[in-house]
Amino acid sequence: MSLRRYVVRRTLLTLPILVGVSVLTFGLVKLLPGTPVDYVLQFQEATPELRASLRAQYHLDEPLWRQYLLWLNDVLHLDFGERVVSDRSVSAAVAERIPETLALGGIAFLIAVLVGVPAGAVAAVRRGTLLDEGSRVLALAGIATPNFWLGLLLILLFGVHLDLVPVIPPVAPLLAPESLAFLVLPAVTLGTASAALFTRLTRSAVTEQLRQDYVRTARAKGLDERTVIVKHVLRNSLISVVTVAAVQVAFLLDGAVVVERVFSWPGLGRLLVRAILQRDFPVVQAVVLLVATAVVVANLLADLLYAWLDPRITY
Amino acid sequence: MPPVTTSRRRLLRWVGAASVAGLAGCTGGDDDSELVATLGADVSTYDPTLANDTTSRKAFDLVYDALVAIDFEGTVRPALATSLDQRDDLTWRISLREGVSFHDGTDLTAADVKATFERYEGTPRESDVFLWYDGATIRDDHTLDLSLAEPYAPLERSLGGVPIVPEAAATGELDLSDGPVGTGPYAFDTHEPDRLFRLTRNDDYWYDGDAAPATPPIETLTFRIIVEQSSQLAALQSGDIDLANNPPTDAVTDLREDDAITVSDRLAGGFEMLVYPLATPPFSNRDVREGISRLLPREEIISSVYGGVGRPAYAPISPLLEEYTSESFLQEMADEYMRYDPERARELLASGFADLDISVPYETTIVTNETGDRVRWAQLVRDELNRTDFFDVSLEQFEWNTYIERVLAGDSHRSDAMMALGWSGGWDPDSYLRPLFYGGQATPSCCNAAHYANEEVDRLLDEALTTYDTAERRALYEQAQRQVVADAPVGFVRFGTRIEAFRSDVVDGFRTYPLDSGEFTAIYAPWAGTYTTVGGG
Repeated sequence: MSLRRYVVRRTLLTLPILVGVSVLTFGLVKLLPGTPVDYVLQFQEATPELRASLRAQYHLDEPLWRQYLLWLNDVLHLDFGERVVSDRSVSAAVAERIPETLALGGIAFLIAVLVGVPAGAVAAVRRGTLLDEGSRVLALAGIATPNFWLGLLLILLFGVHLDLVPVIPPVAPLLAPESLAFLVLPAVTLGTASAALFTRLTRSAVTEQLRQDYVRTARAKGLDERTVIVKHVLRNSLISVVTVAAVQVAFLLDGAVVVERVFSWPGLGRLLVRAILQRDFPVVQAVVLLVATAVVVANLLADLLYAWLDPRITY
Repeated sequence: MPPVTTSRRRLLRWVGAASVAGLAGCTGGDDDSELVATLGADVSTYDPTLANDTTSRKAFDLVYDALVAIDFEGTVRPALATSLDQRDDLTWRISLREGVSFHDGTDLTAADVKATFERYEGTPRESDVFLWYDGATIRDDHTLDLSLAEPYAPLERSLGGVPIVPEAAATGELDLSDGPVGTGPYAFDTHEPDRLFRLTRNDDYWYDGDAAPATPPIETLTFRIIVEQSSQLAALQSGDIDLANNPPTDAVTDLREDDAITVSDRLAGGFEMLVYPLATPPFSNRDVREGISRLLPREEIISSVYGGVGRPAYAPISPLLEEYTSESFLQEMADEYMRYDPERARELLASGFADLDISVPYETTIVTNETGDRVRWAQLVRDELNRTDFFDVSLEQFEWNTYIERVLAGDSHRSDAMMALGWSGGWDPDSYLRPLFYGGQATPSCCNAAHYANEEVDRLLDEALTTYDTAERRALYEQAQRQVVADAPVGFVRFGTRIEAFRSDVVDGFRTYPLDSGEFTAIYAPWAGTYTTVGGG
């Protein structure tokens, strides 16, 4: 199969996945106990008429399948309706969070790759040395540390004790230097586990490549070790790293829910948590759908990249 | 999850010891002064008819004025109304202050007030107004007559909870979802969702008395939205914020030891209680209920869960309302029905269980939401009940909405679970009794989760609600409370407190307002002679 046909086929295959995601997104939200009406009224005295009119406002009086179709129709028009807890549009509320989460996730991903891949490569090349053992211990600690705890620890150390950075985000545009500087701690918090994973993964991939015949050939040819590692071994090792990188996108979005709360960062994660707590169903559905789509697309890209990186693989 | 709590507490200790004296976030001087406070959640709406969350209400509290204001002791003070003149049982003449303008430049007139009342109809906050409102007749630009459907004793204080908005908000010309528009001492500036909510001083404020400056001393109020309580404390201790509301009780002891921080607390208008499902045996038996109420270890709860802050509750009306309750009344209720007394409790439980012919130990649960303090007092109650031969109690925690759904469902009284619940009342005694103990307020209409129904109590509450004379009202509420406490549909646990922590070198003049959504009142409340200043020490 040609690469072009593979790309088309693989892309089309995501459509049924997205439909499944939409059904799940809609259905899971409906499984949550409580409705927006319960939240809106809470401990207020309310007449049955007021309850009924509020239910109708959120289409809760329609059968479930009809609610789904109404919702899907709106979603296909990129109209997620109005929020339950305020009269702002859902699309606007979600859209304004995307840059914030992308910035946090992007920096965290960069840190993870820039720290994890070289660390793993060095560990593999210096296998069995103190450096290797050290990176193993650090990686294990990185994976095992809950990011909630790590975040608080970093805040207390750098924000309060050393007073080097503000504890809450500066009032500045997203790309202003002080905003980016503030993002370092949350990004480190968010990226640590991924960095650790990349380290271990790169280490085993590089170790495996080092045993290959072509490495012996390259060395026999007289190439210097640096070229052997960087140009040949590392490049061939990256294939498995790329696959995992796609999964890490989901992991980073997941972790953002916690890290954004600890660092008071106004991203999608905080919007989502609050929307769940307030039974703000339209927002929950929009964010979950967005994140799920992002993960599906990331996996698609990884598969395509994989095919491009390793033309030997046939499908 | 006790391990997490302990480690967090330890971390906070460390911060306390290492507290940094430097300050940031605000500058002295009158013209660019700023107070940085926090909100524990985002502001969800600017419209008083929609706002059911205390966060939104406290955030826009300083943007709107009401006809009257309720000061720190519960006294009604004139605000937008210069007088409320009762013409007869059902009619009040309201005279409005002249020369007051909204932040959008329009002048306040009687039409704005009438429109404010009427736009509550059919909204989630309908009962704020339509419990008493029957109509309003505009006499002239600054006078209107308010008609009530029935006499309504809490009217003046209820008016204090109705923020006046421009008539244009009712006609649709003005959209309050773009930003709150009121006549208050601060005008809306910006809201960056989940980041900050900012207000700036209204330089045309109407106040012209001598008790406070004519406009607020602080130019800008910035509320940073910080959900995580540990992060909020770190921000306070690092000086990134100046003032924090409701710090977690387990951190208060450490905050008190920190010289840079002042902790302010006072008795609030609310209580914690254990609600019994009255339709389910053995809770249908009065002796069993009194037995459980006499096993609630209130003193221990206050000392070990709340760090010694708060008072044991033996009746619903908060001692904050000095006109309607007293310490001696509470002690009398304690002696007769409620005080912790394991021996008496065992007698009562023995007789109750014997009457019901239920085999012991009886297996049951206490349900609670995940609020740490509430979970911990419920644990103490569980342990206390399990020390008797009568109960085998376990604790179930629910996420807030699931918990609300359980507690406020129509069949809460038939479930097999006692419910740990908190209640916030207001300045009027009715708010501590009617929603919880009036027959017609049984869930899901409102909040009477026990489905307690006693005709005598209903009658007393109705009569008290329509009696304007304070002494007569007090007598009626005493009778109603006595009856409720004797019937023991719930076990009262603790009257709560409000706590604030602020940076001692920055914030001056701040006081704690005892009720929900009044957290920032003290920033500028000229009608109470109260205002806050900021400055570098």
